[in-house]
Amino acid sequence: MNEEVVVFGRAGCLVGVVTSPPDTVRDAGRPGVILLNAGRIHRVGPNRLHVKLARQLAARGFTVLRFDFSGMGDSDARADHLPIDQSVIVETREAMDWLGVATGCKHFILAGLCSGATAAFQTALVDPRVAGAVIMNARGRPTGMRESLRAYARKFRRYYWKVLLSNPRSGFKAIRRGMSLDTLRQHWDGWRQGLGERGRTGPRANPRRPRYLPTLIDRGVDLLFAYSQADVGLDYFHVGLGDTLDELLSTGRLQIEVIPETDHVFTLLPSQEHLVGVVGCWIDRVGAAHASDDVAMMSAG
Amino acid sequence: MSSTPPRNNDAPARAEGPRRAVTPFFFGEPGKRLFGGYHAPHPRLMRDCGIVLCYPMGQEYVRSYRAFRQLASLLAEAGFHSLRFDFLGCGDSMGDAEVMDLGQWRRDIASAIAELRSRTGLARICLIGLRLGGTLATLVGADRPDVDGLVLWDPVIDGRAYLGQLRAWHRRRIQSFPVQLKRRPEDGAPEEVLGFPLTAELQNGLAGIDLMAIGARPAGKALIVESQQEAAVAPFAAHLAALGTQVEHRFLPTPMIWIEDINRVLVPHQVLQAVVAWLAEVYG
Repeated sequence: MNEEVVVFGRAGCLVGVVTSPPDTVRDAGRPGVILLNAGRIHRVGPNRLHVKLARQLAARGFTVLRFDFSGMGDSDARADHLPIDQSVIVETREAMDWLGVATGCKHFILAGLCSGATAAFQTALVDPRVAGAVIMNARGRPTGMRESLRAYARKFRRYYWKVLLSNPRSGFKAIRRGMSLDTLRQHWDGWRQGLGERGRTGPRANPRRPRYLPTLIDRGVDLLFAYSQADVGLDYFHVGLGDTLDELLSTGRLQIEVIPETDHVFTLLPSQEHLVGVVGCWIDRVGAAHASDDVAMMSAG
Repeated sequence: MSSTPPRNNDAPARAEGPRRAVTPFFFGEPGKRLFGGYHAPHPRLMRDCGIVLCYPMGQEYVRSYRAFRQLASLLAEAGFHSLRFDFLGCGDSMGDAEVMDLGQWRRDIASAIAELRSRTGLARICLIGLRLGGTLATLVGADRPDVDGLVLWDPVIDGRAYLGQLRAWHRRRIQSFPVQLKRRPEDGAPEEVLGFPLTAELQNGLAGIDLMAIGARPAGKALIVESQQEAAVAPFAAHLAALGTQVEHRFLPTPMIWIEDINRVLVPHQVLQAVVAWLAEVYG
């Protein structure tokens, strides 16, 4: 395994680390993997998750790029006025440009947690080179009070009541956190902004709006949605997609994985290990399938 | 426009463009490569002292990254060559829990000093360290005669107390988790502090830290900055002075950025400006 620092992008301001597989497992046909910043954490990821994931994937034969969006980590700020919800897509595409030239790979798997998950999803919608995306604890803004109430009701049915039964004190604490002033304020902001997003496509595309996932799946994109057990994003996801979800799952291109006993950023070591194992296996499977597709296309051509 | 991949780690591939704020690269011995970020001063203003910045560990590292990058940028604007780096087993550097060891991390500081000297030709070096980074910087300084200055930002003085703080932080955080954890450390899982391993070797090393026991002067001059007044710091400052270090000890009430909410990524500009001002005065 080899790691190199790279600086790339149209403005030359993006810094990343490329992890390359050892020659014994290198497979030039596999998609490149790109890991996107989670929130405001630099490219190593929360709890160094991106470093661990990159090295594990390299051991499976993938070339992985983890990098900082402009103005984060070691990347310089942009010199233009592009808003961040657009610049993350532009810069993810620049990462694909660079990795494609460096390795010859034609397809990519994007992976991100929270805001990184949203960036991965939104880039997948607009760039046909994206063959797969790992969407970890994506939420998207709630679109209205009704959706939020339905999501929390679902969460109560699937999760809160079990915690209340096994440990009432813990359960009430968990419910109180979900209804804290901070959480309510975030929801209020989300409702106000979500109202403005209805009908909007492109940079503000919300993963759980029913029209987007079929677009990707019909295009042949594989998707792994990984959620922490107590993350309400899982419930928003189910509520947002409704009846469409079963149909999408039946295509075999959508997989949902719930990681138990962990928080939003998969803090504890056992949950990191679990997540990296799940993501690694999924990327292995999807990567092999897309490599086979490329070989078949080249043979037919 | 995309750029070709590099052939070696010392010369990262770069697209054409304006002068970058940071030159990122790997350095150090094969198999133990460390990630570094070098900040060059403006050519019109160059001071003759290089600065090596030593991060704290674990979750404290993640929360301090932005502040350290901004500190290094301010130092560059003030005329200092500076190098930030990730310790072995941390950040982007090679290795994981198996290499996390205080002795290795002291050698990493030595490697960073050598690297900065190699890049700049400067003989005078000052070390800046936050929390355990400050502790390691002090220990390195006490082991060699050529560390000219130290900036110790809320340094860990008593390793046992530090271990207690880490474990207490871990317990508090677990209690606020949205799930009831079935697994507990006593179930046989390796100990960790919020996602970062706490191996037996590391625990022993940390428990053995006692900066009041150092017997050699770690540097000619030192600035000690406290964000929250701790009882141990003033006696430590007096101890350094007794060893022959010219000490300035400042209390700047600012948030403890290393334990703040990860989403806040605070940068305590008051501390950064005080550090840069002190260095500019000392190395004017």
